[in-house]
Amino acid sequence: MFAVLTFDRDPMQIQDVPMGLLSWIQVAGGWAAAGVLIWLLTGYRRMRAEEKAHISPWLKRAFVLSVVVSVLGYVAAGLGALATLLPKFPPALAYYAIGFGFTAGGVGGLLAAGLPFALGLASVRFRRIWALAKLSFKEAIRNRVLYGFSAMLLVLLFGSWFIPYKPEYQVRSYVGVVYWVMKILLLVTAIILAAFSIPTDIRRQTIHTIVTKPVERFEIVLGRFFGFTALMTLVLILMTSVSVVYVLRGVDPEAAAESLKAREPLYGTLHFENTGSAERGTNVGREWDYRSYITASAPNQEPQAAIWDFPNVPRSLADRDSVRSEFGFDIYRTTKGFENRGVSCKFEFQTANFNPRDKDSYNTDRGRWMGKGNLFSQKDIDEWLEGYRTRLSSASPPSNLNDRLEKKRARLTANKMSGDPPQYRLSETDIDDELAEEYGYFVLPAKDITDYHTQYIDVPAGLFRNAFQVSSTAARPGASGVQARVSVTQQSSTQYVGMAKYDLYLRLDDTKGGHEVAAFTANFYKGAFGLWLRLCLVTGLAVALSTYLSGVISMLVAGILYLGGGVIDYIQSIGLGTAPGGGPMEALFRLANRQVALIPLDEGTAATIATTSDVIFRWFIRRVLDLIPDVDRYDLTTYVGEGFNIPLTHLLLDVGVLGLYLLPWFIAAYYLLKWREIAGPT
Amino acid sequence: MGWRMQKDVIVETRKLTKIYRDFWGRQKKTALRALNMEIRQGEIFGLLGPNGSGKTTTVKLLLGLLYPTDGEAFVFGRPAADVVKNERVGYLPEESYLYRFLNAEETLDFYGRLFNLPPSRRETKAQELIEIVGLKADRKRPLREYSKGMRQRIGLAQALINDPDLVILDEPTSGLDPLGARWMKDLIRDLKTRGKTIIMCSHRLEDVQDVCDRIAILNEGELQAYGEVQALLQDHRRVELRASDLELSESLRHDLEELLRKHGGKLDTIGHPTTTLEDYFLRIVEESKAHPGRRFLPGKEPAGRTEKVMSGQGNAPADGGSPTGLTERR
Repeated sequence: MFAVLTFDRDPMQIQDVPMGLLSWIQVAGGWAAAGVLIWLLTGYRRMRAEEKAHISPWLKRAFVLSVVVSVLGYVAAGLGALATLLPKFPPALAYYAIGFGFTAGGVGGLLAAGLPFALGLASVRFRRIWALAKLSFKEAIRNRVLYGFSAMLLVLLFGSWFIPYKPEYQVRSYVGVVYWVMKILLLVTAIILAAFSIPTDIRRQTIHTIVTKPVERFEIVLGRFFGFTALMTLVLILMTSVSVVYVLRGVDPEAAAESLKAREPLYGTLHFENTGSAERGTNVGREWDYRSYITASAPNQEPQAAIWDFPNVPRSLADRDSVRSEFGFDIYRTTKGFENRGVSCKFEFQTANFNPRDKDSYNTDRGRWMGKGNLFSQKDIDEWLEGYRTRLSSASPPSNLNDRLEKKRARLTANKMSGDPPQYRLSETDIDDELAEEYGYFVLPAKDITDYHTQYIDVPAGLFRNAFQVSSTAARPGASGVQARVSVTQQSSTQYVGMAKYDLYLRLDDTKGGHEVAAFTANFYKGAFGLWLRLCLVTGLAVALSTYLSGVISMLVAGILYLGGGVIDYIQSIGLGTAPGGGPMEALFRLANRQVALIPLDEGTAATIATTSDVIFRWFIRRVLDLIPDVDRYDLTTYVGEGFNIPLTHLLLDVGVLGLYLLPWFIAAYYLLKWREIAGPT
Repeated sequence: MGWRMQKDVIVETRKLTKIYRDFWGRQKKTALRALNMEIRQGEIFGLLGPNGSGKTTTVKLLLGLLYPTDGEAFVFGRPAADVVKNERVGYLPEESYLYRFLNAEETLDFYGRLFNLPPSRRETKAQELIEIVGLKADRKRPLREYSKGMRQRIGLAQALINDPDLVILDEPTSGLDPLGARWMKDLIRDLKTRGKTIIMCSHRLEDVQDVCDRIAILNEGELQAYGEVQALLQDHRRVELRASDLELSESLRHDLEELLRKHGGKLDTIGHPTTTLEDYFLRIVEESKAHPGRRFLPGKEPAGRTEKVMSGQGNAPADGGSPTGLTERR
């Protein structure tokens, strides 16, 4: 819509890692425990005494211990679940038992399944994996797989005939198209190569000459995975390099201004005031309720305000001349408004040191100094400094008072004009900067907002210098620890301005650096890294599946899991029961009784049966959900297309998430290939 | 494990059984039943049997391609499923299933890497083996262009890349022409002289008879005969006698009958021995190499040689032509 990022879910942060790990242990551990159980019931029973004799005693002990821990954990979780039904049992304790039990059960399951795997990894040798990877690489090249990628040429040659764009969206459209084409070509090729390689080896019996060498079978899995990944990586680098030239070539200046850059945004947290709810503004009835709207205040009411708090502003911002705050808001009009004019909004920036009671004094000062026509006499400067000293000393004066005053005098008198008596030149920006540092406040009383454009305000850096001064005079506004706050109010009562958390941000990168194309290019490669992660995902998934399934089936399953990742939010809503209309039984019940989806069901036996069986259904859906990769998180196209820098932590977290997703699949592949009889009866 | 291996026993199976099952675990076919055998250091051991008798199953069990349903197999004292033993094993599958997009050099380099051989060693070993199997001229061609015999040769080369102590050959002579088969057999004997142990699986009995020291005969998954070829084939009720520089005549026959009767025996046959078709074929090919331009002319073939021998008319060609029916083209 405009060059701001929209997030359906808040992106993962470093502080989310412990919780993520915990839930991974519970989920992956649950699957591992189920796998161990199945093995105990089938595989272990078929194991012969001779085979059991070959297992080292300490491994046996460790395995038994892990299984015991797992069983105890799940028993505890089960008891906890039963305890929730008891009226007198403290629910907190019950939920603690459930959480702890699932975690312990998961840890036990993971250890039981992972120990032999980890031991097996010890005999894996890189040189053999490398040989197998090289083989896969050569195989793909000599089978002329890469010819398929020449389809990319079609896009590069003729794409611009068909890609529609408005001038300011050119970069976004091109980036979207080239990433999409790269995605389709690479992922489809990777999934086919990976899914068919091991089954073909088995079918053609070429694998016989490999497993009769001193090759650990898991090395074949890793060799295939690394080989195809390496090949696809080279292709990806090449395609990305060609694509970036294609995108950069002949960029429209408007498009360059909009998104040919890599902004580093600092996001705050958003809340609303005087709208009736801190989380929501006024609902204008738009179906997509991502944004909340504010309007002008009714008479005798406090104005509706959207307020962003920035708790952690980096110190480096104080060293700049100004800091750019960018925003893109949506406008909902109930009247036509003024032609060719946007909606006027008031932007107030303040720090924790700002005392709201000083607002009048700020306005008086600002009016006074702005009225000087940029030329200040020595007397004006002295008055200004005296006023500042008075205000600072009024409560408890800071220890470095004189130092501050001297520094301020030096800044105010920096631009000395010739003449007698001497005069000092201060631009309006300088005055705003000084006042912002003094008060911790900066206001833009009327800024015209138009939609479909990113707009910006250059905030004087004095505001941030103020934020880092130790406060002594002013009471902190609002929540503690807030270092900067932006509040937006609006002055037309027939217009609504819509905003979401990610619609306003401070630019951490220096907009005056002039490295925007370089930053964009680097960002383009980072975006390709997201594609690379998806490549690893499908390759790993398909190779792991193909250790047990046939080529076609592996390809289909990997493809379906990947596509499932694209609609994971919807599947989640089914699994959690938040989808309107309930599960299949409830839906059937509603259909039969001609009941609307949103009306609660009447109580009755049939309704109870329907909703209860849906609980079981949802449990299965959630287990399916465990298997589905969160594909969209690796899609970084919008970052690049909208001109936002992809944070390094984002990429690192993605690598971690991918690794944790693939690990259980690889453990499963390890066992499946190890237990599999490579040769058939013939 | 309470199991002791005799020092020179390389392979031992104890009650080795393989039952193929379907998906539900129901028994489908017993491919091998309680096989007990030992293969000793430095011998050429032949596994014989009709199709589906369990010989390939045995080999696959020894290689860890299949897992036993019951019993155990040990190779170099280690369980057959242990991949470490593969360091000392070379395997030539029945159809050399190799990667068809690689050429001979790349194939050997690839398999050399799987043995963790250092690069210089891989290089020299590959060249040496390519020389031995006679693929020097074709070493840069991808295997998909190779004939069956050539694939068998490169297959043998890859089986020897690690200088194995135990070589397992599944139908080594299949797909080879008689010349190739002879070459293969010579090579197998050569391996034996270098102290290697060889297991070969074949249903070409003459090949087995030619090279094997000991054999096992399987049928329907059960061991039917097991022991030294010579001992197994020796017919103690008959005596064979060969002599040279003798004309076959009625008086000779009569005298011999007299002599044998005196010792309580009976003359069954007397005649000129035939050579094997293989020897005959090889001689023809050798001769044709020695005389380029010579060819077979119809109507010149000697008719009913055996018959003439039996009728005691001597072995001189009746029409005075060449004994092989071949004539120099003039």
